[in-house]
Amino acid sequence: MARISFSEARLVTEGFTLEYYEQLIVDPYYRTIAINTLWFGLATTIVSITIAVPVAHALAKYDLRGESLILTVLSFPNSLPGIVAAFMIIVLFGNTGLITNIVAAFSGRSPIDLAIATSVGGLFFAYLYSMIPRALLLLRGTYAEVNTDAEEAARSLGATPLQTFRYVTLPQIKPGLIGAFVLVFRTALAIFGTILILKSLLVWTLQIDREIAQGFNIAQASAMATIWFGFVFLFTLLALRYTSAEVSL
Amino acid sequence: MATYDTGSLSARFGRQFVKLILVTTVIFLSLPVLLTFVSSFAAQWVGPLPSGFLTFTNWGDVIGGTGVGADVSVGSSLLYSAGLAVAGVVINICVGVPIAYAVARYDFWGRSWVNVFAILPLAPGIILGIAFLRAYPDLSTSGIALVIGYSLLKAPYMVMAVQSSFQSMELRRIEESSRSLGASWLRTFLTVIVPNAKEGIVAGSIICWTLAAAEFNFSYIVYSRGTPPLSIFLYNNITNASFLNAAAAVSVFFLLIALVTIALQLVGNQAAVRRL
Amino acid sequence: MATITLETLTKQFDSTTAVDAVSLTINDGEVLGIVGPSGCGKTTTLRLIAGFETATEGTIQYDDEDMTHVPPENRNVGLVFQGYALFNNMTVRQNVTFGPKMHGVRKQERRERANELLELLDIRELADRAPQTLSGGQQQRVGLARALAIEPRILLLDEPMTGLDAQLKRSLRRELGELLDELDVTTLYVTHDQEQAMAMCDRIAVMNDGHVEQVSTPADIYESPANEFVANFIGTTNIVATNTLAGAVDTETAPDQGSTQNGHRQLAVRPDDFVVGSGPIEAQIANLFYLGEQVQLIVTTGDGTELTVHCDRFDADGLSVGDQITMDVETSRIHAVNETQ
Repeated sequence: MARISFSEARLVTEGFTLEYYEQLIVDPYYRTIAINTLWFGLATTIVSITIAVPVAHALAKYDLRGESLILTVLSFPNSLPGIVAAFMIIVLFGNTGLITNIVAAFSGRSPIDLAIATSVGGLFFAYLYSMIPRALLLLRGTYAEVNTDAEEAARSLGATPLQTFRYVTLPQIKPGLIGAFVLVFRTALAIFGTILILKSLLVWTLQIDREIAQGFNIAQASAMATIWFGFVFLFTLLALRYTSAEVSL
Repeated sequence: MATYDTGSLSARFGRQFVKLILVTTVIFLSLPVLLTFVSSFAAQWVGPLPSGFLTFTNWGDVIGGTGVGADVSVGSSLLYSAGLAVAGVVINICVGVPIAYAVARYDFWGRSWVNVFAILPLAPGIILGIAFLRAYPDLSTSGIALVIGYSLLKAPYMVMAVQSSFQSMELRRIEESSRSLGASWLRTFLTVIVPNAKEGIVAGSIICWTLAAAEFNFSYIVYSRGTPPLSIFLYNNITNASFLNAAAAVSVFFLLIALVTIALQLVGNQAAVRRL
Repeated sequence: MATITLETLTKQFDSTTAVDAVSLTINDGEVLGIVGPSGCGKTTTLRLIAGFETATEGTIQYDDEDMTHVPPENRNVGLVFQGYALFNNMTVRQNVTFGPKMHGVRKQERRERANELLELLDIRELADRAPQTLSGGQQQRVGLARALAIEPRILLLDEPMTGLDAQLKRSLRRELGELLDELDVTTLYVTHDQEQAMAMCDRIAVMNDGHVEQVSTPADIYESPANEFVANFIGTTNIVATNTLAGAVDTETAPDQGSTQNGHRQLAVRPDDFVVGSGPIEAQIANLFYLGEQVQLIVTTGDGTELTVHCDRFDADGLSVGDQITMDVETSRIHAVNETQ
């Protein structure tokens, strides 16, 4: 670990000009990219956690048939790199994608018009494809520690299932939710392979690649990488300080 | 009386609603995997579903290599990535096991910090890749850069897997009883502690290996020529080859993951399987 | 408050039958205990009554209302859990007012009700504390206050004393017993501790393997257990054949029902039904335990049967392991037992 910080440190110690950082702050082009990155990351994080909570709930509370198969399916995407996640979205929403064609068949419109894989919408789903399993992994751990007796106590005291969730379960999983939020948001900010293939939104990591590939401007890319690193580092520190969230992964 | 039989809205429909989300999620995550695998045996996919079964042309192209797009065979990429990943895992074991042990066994200043940083991947592949390009420009084109990068990126998984093994052991007592019987610290560590954590080390190695073999972001930034690692091979296929060829290439990767999952299950580490 | 009636209540989990055709009535205002070894189905029965499990067969009635398929929140049962299951994210008072709040009771009224209950249970000064800062005994009272706050039709207590130390258990047992008497609320008390149940309950149901073996008053269950299982589970019992006690028990006048083994009727004899000193039974002391007020002797009779005998500590003076003793039996107190079905 020390080696990473060492090599990170090399980035800024060489040379010593603030020109590239200035560029990042002054140029509205970069500002737009930063805003794109943040809102898209935030939106996908919130949606994936919103989906992961009921799924983790069902896995923890209900008797499900084929539960171990379900678990395998739900954790499988965790080991897929981003480029494969992008491909999965092309399979579903691309020009020949299954869902595109189903919608086309019902609406009578051309699949080409309906294909959203390489639009921002498709990218949204691609992010979810990588992030929901990640969120689930964390929330399942949280759910394992929920006191079921307290939930039953609430039911017997007259709370409906929804009220039980709101007053008893939710306060218990709150630290886990915050921990999941921090880590899933980090994941969202770090996504690169997916965006490299779908290319529908210019985010920070994609711009870093462009700096290198299109101008071989390693200095600018390094500055961007350092900013990225500094932001995530501070964000994680702050989040950890204000929550007692158990952090794993 | 009637209200008793039906109950509140959430008592009646809550469960169905939650299950619906579960089923949708499962379909969303598994359907494209299945479609990809199935379509890799198809001759064409123009309508809503692939057609022209059963053909092995796509697999043949992937395995044998074609002149265009994916210009090398999957075999060489797979072997190359496997070799690099193994080297990364060896480094991970040497570094990760002592770290996990230190954090689990000793109380020292900054322990919680070491813990947090050992299990949080500090920088994602792309950032680390830039750091490498900048710091070691000459090294970056060789396999060595990839090995070091892989081991740094995947070290947290090793630390976590080993730590979960250590947490279930009474380390202090084991260490003290071994020392009281006359074994030196190093001997205790190598002959008592490490063998006891074998399961975690094996699981951690498998996980690190898989993730390293599949690593894309770092490889993409650092790789420039020579045999492409597996993930670069996949990337070339997805971007340049025909859709069905890409499907076959991705399926090769699925098979790899499936094999690894089975291997983990054989090791008996359920928790590790979920982690993966 | 209500009378609870279970009719051939059955619960199956996959292939195992946890509760097997249990029919039981808990009368209005009574404290009924269910005792039995772990896995006998007592907790499942409680969960069926509370509504957390759905019966495979049979019905549950509160007075005349069929409650078999009513969700738990509409049953109005007060539940006290083994680990108390307090809401740690709320204060003690919020725990107690939670039930009334869910039932739509006005804020002012539920506050008053909570204060009354906290007063009754002598924990008024803890109202604003967080549950995790309380001792086990205090947490138990909060759990009880929370359950009582909804004015339940039945109070269900699931092993409420587990995890407390022996002395606290004894004092709580007395307090809880007095409180239940005072409140006059229909109560089901589930425990594996038969001593607790004997002390607190008006009637006891002994469960084994999903069945109810016997339902009766504590005294009745102790004095005339319905079968071998009950005799063994409640207190210590020697199950002996009549011929072992030949001379002490007239085989003719001995109870004539019950099961037999090798042609000899099986009898249940409590350790304190033996009179050590003189009598027709000869035995050798194999072991001797000083229990305080009493001394427990493990003796072996001539035909090799091992018996557990209690005698007064003064009568045991001078006895030691290996001694030959003679003893008699209080014939009026022994009775035949049926084999457990």
